[in-house]
Amino acid sequence: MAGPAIGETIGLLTLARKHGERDVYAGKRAWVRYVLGMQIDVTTDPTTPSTAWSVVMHNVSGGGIGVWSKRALPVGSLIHIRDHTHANSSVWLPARVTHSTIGFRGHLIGALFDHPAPADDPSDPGQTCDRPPADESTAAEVSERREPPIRSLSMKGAFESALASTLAIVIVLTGLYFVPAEIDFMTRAVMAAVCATVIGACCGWITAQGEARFLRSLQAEIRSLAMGTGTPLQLGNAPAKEVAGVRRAFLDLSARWRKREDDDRLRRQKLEEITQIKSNILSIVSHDMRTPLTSILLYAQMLTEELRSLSEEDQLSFLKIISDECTRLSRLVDDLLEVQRLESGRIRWNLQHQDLSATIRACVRVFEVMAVSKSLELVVNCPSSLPSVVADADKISQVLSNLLSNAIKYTPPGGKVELAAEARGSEIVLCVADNGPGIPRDKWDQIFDRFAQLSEANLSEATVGLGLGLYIVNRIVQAHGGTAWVNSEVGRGSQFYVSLPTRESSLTPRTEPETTLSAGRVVVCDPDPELAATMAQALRQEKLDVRVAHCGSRLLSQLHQGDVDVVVTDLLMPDMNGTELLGALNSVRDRSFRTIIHSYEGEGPELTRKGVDVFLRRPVSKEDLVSAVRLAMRKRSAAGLTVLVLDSAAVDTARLTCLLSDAGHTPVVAGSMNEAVALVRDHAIHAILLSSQSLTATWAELKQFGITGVDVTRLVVLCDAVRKHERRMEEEHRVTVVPYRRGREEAVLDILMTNANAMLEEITQ
Amino acid sequence: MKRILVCDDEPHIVEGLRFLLRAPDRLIETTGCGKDALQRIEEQMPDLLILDIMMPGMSGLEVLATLRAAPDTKNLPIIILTAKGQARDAAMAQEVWDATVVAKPFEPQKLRELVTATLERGKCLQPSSI
Repeated sequence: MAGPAIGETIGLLTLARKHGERDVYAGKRAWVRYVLGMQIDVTTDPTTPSTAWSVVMHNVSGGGIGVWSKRALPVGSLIHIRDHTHANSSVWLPARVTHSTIGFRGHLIGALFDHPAPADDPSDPGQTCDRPPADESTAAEVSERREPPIRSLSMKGAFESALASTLAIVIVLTGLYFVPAEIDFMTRAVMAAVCATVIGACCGWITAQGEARFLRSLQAEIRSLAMGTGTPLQLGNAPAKEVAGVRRAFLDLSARWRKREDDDRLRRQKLEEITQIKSNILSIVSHDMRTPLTSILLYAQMLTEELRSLSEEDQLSFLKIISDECTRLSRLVDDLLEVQRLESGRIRWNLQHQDLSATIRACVRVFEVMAVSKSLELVVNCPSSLPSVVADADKISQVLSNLLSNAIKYTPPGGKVELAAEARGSEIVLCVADNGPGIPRDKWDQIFDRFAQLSEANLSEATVGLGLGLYIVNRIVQAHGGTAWVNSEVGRGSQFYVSLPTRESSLTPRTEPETTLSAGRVVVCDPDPELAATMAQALRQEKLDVRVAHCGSRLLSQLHQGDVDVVVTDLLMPDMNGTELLGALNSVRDRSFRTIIHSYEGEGPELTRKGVDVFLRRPVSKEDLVSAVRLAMRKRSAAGLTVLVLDSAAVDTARLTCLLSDAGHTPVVAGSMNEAVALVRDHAIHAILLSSQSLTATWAELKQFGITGVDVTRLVVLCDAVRKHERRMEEEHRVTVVPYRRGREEAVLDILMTNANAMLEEITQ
Repeated sequence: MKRILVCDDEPHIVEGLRFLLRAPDRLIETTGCGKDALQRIEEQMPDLLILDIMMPGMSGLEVLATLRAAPDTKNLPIIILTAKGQARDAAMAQEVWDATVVAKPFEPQKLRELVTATLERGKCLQPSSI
């Protein structure tokens, strides 16, 4: 083979890289196709370890691929290559180096070699003549590598036929020899042939039975996939090693198929949710607009029809009502636009150092007139000056006027509305109190978070007709780094609170408050609204997106809406006790959030066993809370697994759970196999660690997992040595087998976590 | 003398209806709360109830269901006013509980005619049958 110029080779390599994946001979030659960048093994001797090279081009100048490596290879030497597309393939394809490129220190860094094409490729006779004698087997190997099971099956069939024929011939010959001579030759021959046929048929029938059983289960599974039914895989064992390949390939295919179906379902659900939100928005807006429209229409028509018969006083009062209702309509439109601006984040905040006492006094002046006309007492409790805060004065006065107008609207004549402002530590707290009808506890969050409710199928009556005022209040206050909350008693009245931080650190005006959100979403749940608000504010200062809930059912409905990273909650709720709450938290579908419990009750270790990530005993300092949330957030972003450890003498459960927990995973311990099965069925568990010794009758136990609806792919079996038996277990049941000895828990963790990502993806997606 | 009870939480609408439906032989009473309406009906049976659906506390549908469950008020003529743009509630009120449903905003003239016709016949009518 003529040695080419180095420059020419470099040119080819550059050209190939520039052309990317284009195959200039596409379709002309039936070669093994390599993908550019693919890793292939290249070695000079198939019995020695190989080096991984990358393919930089293929099918260059009439046949050959280029590879890239740091290993030196002389021109003309015989090399063997193997690709990784067939993991089980041990076929080495021989080829000869035709070009080479010498790099810096005299090392060959690139090489071209003749392509290892199949011998039956007529378009390229040059390929075969270069082959060394050992190449005779190559053609068979190449085609076997492409379609191993079928080829092997037919080989097996051929082998069985040959065996049967041999047997038949032997029987015929023995029959001829042993059968008494008085029976004539033809009869003996016929008898022998009949015997041979019967024996052959029996052999064939037995073999066919096994294959037929497997094929039947395969057929059933394909049908169930096609129908879209979600039955777990119950494929029978493969009758032969070759068919096991088909079985594995099918299991992979069906796993992927089911994943696609799940993705589709999720997408549909999301779409339905959006449709629901749209229709609920329409419903709210149409209600809020129809009510003033009804009044306007009613009074306008009465005026038109009965203008003459109406007294002047009536006429004036009718006109006044019409103008009031028009104001209400235009305010509603303003609110809608404001919400839209707040939601889209396009709002421009005019942030300046403010003494809010001036803003408060200006705002109150407007409402004094309204209060007097409704014969209400409006009391203002505000010091002459307040610590300066960075705020948009217009927006804060909008907050105040929304709160005051609600209070005046809902307080009966003769009642009292009170506005108080005071500096409390590092924040200013404003409070608007009324003695209106009050708000039941389960509506406390909804009134501030109206749009969060929109995905629910049934709008609660309380959220309809309330206007968007409180929602706007909440958004504005949150954008200022503050918190809004309510405390109320039905029949006695409500107190709406707004707190705004005065801390130095928050003095940098934030022009785009939207960007500070979405760093992580936390739900804070506590029956005490003030405590919940304080905690929420502490977390908001850490730039977290915080939502608040005051009872268990509300917390769960927020969690079901998804996108929550961390939950901080008390154990005792007005509507459920600790056990119920933990049970409910664990049963949230697609659970991916981390749980922090802060309570006077409960024991840390016990709670950890129940899936709680961090336990804080009350009273909780702000620093403790923030660092707990940070830890939980780390655990969350480490995409930790929920791992169930089956407790047994063979496993150091305590150490294993400790290590898992440190690595950002959530360990759950089960005392028995039955308990494990129950836990896995009810909770989102990514992996089950169990000792092979816990599996008494290994196969039966594994099958039990299959039957009880737990998919066995989540099982990680710890055994002292991985032998043939365990390998088979791994292959047939798709469990992960990990070597383990007491005291070597770290090693288990390492191996487990290398598989963890795949496991996590497969199950969570 | 015919008695009409108007129940709506919007004072403007209540007052407007009182004015719209006024007639020499009619007594129009008003209330802004469902519970109060039920209590008043128990005290003295009106000839017609005009009821809003969306009200704080007890909704109009709850009031309607309670009234229809009691034997005395099973046949009381009721006109339901609904601002909630949802056909579901309206259909339920009309078909299940036998009430006349009028959507807000309504035409005052039509409502006046409907009320007159209902009072004459003493039973629920469909707006189209006037």
